[in-house]
Amino acid sequence: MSVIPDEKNPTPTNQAQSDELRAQIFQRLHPHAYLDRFLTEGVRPDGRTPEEWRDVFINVGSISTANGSALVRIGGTTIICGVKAEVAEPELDTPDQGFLVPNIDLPAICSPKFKPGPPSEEAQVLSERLNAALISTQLLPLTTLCIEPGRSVWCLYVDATCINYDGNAFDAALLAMVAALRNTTLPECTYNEETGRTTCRSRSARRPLPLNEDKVIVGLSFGVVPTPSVPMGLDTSEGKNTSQTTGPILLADPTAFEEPLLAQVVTVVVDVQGRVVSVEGGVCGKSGADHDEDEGSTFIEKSLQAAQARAKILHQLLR
Amino acid sequence: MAHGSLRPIKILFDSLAGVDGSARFSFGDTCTALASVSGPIAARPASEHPARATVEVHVRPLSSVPGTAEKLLGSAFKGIIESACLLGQHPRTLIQVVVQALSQPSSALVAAKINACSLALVNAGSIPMRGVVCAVVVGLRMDGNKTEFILDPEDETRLDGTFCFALLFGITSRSFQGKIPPSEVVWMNSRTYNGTSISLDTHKFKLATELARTGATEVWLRMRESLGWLSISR
Repeated sequence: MSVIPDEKNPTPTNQAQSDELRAQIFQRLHPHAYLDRFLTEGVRPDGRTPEEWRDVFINVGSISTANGSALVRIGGTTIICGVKAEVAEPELDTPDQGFLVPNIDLPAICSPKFKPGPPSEEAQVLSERLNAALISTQLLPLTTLCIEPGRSVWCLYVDATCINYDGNAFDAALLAMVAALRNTTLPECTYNEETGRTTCRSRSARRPLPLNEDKVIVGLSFGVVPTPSVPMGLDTSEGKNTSQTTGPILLADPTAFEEPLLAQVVTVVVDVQGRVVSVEGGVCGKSGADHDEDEGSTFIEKSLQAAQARAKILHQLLR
Repeated sequence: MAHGSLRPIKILFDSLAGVDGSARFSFGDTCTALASVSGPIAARPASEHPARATVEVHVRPLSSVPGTAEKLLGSAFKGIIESACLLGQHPRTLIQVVVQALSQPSSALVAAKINACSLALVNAGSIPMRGVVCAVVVGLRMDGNKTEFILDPEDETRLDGTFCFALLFGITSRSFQGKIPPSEVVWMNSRTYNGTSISLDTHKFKLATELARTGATEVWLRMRESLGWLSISR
């Protein structure tokens, strides 16, 4: 936006630049109206239809200094995850269980909405959601991380960092963590009773983690936008597509632009067999004034169906 | 197959001295939460919103210091409270809610916390509300091939999954038939427990929602009674 178009001498390029500038200003000043204009035509600002998902890219094993790593890109959102293993003493009441510590960081580099400093509330909430998803599904039974019961266990730190934030960090981060755990290998380790030390043989073959392959999970997030409204004179649909434009719209995989405009969010976690493992959904921002029927639960039901369909594709990618 | 009734509900208005409103809600004897509300009060300039009130929810566990799990609950409750209150009436102010767990963690405790928040908001009386949010837990158990839904289960260790629903019982501009206002789901969280192979599909979700609605209606009626309204004959 540093080039100011010369409006006294309109040429085709000047006109295009001027229109683009106006569109960008409209997007910044009136984001709800901007999104509504697209939705009444049946598309979203990035060109997708409401039920379409962004392309997913997964790359594993790029960090050689980590025990396991993965890089996941969903559209613009990029999450890198590394797994580091450390030897630790187990808890007294669970002497044969190791530790799995997932954490995500949303640093200032990924988006202007995050400031430098201690983890923001959004990062803490995301960390907890990822922790709940990974631990509760028993993807990695913690008893497999035991080296010597009561003495020595593995502690796996699964650290994810967002390097570019464009919405839907939960789906990308969960994918990255699962892919990184799949990629993780641990060295052979023995505990010496006399010296009380755990020794790892670095030159021996490293064994991969014994994950429960049928408990591999993916996350799928949705958002609901209130009924789009377009001013009378600008309605170009001329009466067609009225059934699609009336009522709130379910958007799959919201971007960073769409996220603050959502009235409701739903996240579904599905395992490799297509089973829905957990669902979380709630309204954010003001709910609508009048409801004839319960819209909150109808959108959750629609999300469940769409999630199970999309999960098949994501699980194929993970394989 | 759905069955079960709520454990006896106990509601107490603590009249805590330093806050505008407070309330205690229990499901039975082993699931109690206390909530307090202060608001509208002065907001920090960094967090004030020019057109509406800001809501802050602080959740405190029974033991230990608040961690990320409490932050997650706090952010969920913030969304619930924002959907229930008319925030535009008090711009540039803060509504501060503190929820204290008085029992061991469980899904039912989350529901008790939400109910305590609603009652504390009503007890404060200073924040206009669109309706009252009532929450219940529906448990899921597989018995061979049969799926069993249990309303407000007491022993969560014997379940294969839980659904926690928060429903907003609101007044719409149209008059409603009957004595119970219409309700909508404003928040839900459901999960299966370790090692089970059930899918929380649409069919189960529908059944769980309907069972939760009857349970939440009972909670709403008890809340109404506790505020001094005569019980509604059904």
